[in-house]
Amino acid sequence: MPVIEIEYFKAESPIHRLHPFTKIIFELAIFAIAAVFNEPAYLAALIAAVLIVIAVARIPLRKFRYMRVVAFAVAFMVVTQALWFTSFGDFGGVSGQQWHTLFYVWPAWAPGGPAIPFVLEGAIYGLSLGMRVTAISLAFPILIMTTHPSDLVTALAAIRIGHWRIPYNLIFVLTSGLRYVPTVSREFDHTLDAQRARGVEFEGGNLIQQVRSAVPLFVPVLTSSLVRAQDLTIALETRAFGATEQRTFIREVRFQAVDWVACALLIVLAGVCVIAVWQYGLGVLPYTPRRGV
Amino acid sequence: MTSEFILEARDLWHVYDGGLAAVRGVSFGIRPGEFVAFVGANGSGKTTLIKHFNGLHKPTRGAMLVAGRDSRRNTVAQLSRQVGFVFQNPDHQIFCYSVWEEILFGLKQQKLPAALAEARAVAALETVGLLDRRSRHPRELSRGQRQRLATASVLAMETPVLVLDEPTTGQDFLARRQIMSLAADLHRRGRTIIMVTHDMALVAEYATRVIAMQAGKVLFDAPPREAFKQTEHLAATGLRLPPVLELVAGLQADGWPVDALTLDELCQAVTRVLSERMGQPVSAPSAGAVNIAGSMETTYSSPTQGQA
Repeated sequence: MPVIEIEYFKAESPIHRLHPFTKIIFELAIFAIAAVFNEPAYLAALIAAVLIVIAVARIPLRKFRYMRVVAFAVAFMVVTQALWFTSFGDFGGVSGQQWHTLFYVWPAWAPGGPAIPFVLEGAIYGLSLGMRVTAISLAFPILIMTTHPSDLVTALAAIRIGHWRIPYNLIFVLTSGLRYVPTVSREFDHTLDAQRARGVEFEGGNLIQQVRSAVPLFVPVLTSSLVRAQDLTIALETRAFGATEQRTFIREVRFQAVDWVACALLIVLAGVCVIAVWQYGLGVLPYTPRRGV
Repeated sequence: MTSEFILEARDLWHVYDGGLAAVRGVSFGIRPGEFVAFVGANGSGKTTLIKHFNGLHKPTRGAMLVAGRDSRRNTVAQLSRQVGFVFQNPDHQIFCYSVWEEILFGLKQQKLPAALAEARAVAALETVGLLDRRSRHPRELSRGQRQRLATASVLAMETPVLVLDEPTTGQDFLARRQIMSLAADLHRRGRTIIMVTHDMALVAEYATRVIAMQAGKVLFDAPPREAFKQTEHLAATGLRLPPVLELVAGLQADGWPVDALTLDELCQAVTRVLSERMGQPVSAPSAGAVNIAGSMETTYSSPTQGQA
């Protein structure tokens, strides 16, 4: 079973019935809110909200197995930020802040120690970065999992700005790209199995060994993806893809009252969060580094 | 744990993350030198099961012993010295720029001395008939040749056990013959061969033992001759008898005292019966598959007429 199972999951739920555009607004709102806050408590509330939406959409949690990878990323951010945080130097108003050192990586009894402090504030800052990533990576697949692929196409094709619309080719590239994520993930698993069966060790080793062991993994996956893309092109050509400029769609998606309400609420909510941060400084750690990283 | 078997499953269960129990309490032992065919419908758990043989899957419950070693306590890399695994799709493993590098890759993983590794690579390429293409890019090879290259790269590791996952699917008649005679040859030289297949004719011809799976359990485990007698079981797994056995069943129903598993045996049995019935020796048709159909057709009516 593939690790990444981001594909349409058929179920009866209020989220499934929403217009794709509403779900796009939802994702944008989550991105905006995750971007403005960095206090872990606020981000925890945001993650909880996303989880509630997932529960309402009846998506089984096993579809989110890829979050294990995200968990590694979060752990990595916590550790690196705890170790390097104090080197940022510019913390705006909170200069002279007394950092809380939890322990030293190079202990006191070692020659030249103690050195390399593990700073609590840095760990919290790293955690807040990780929680942003968590919230976004939980929210992102909701659109794809709860929207029938052709509804997504129809919705995207319906977007008009003046006379401009999104070229259908582009929409096709986007939606078929999303459709192939689980396929490539599956391919990756098969390749991993095939190479491990030949005695390749993927765990452990230093960085150079790790990069080297990636070659037997990525080359077969990439080449078969290219071959598949070629096959897809031929299949499209045989079905006269792009023969007509103006496409029609057999499925219809309607923007209903509930969509208006949901979009309005989401936009207001995101707006309130942005104002809360910019005007009142809520939900921001007092020692957020000022310099861009 | 010790075991007289080279592969032993003890009440093995495998439950996937999503809660799907693909293998439900399977037990068997495979001795060195056996040629075992795993058969069963798609989704019956064959592939999940055989992936335990080199530790790609670890049992959720129960145990899998590979050469007496618990698969859970050994890495796939360690077990890959005992069990070579040829996957269905060669394109999942081929990544090098030449046939030669591809074949040496697995041997390099085992850190063999260069001279030995090269000797083994030459031998393996010769066995699959690709030695003259050693400097080619694998993508220039045909699908059948790539399958043979993948097989050779596993052969070169010289493991006591060889697992072939549907080796003949999508291959033409010639390539099928080549792969199967290769497997039979390795079997004769003492290797243990495990094969997953839907091709009953191959099972009848080559396997010494058939393990049929259904819904994650072993439905029956017997030598092919006995296995194919369990027609109702076979029907339950959605498998058909090999053509030779269907022919034998038809002949038996028609009063012919013949019993055969392979085409050769059928030829001999039919010749014997014909000789007896006609009271004079009939020259046995050569075992070649080509003329058997013709000779069957022309001689079919005579013994039944004699009976009537």
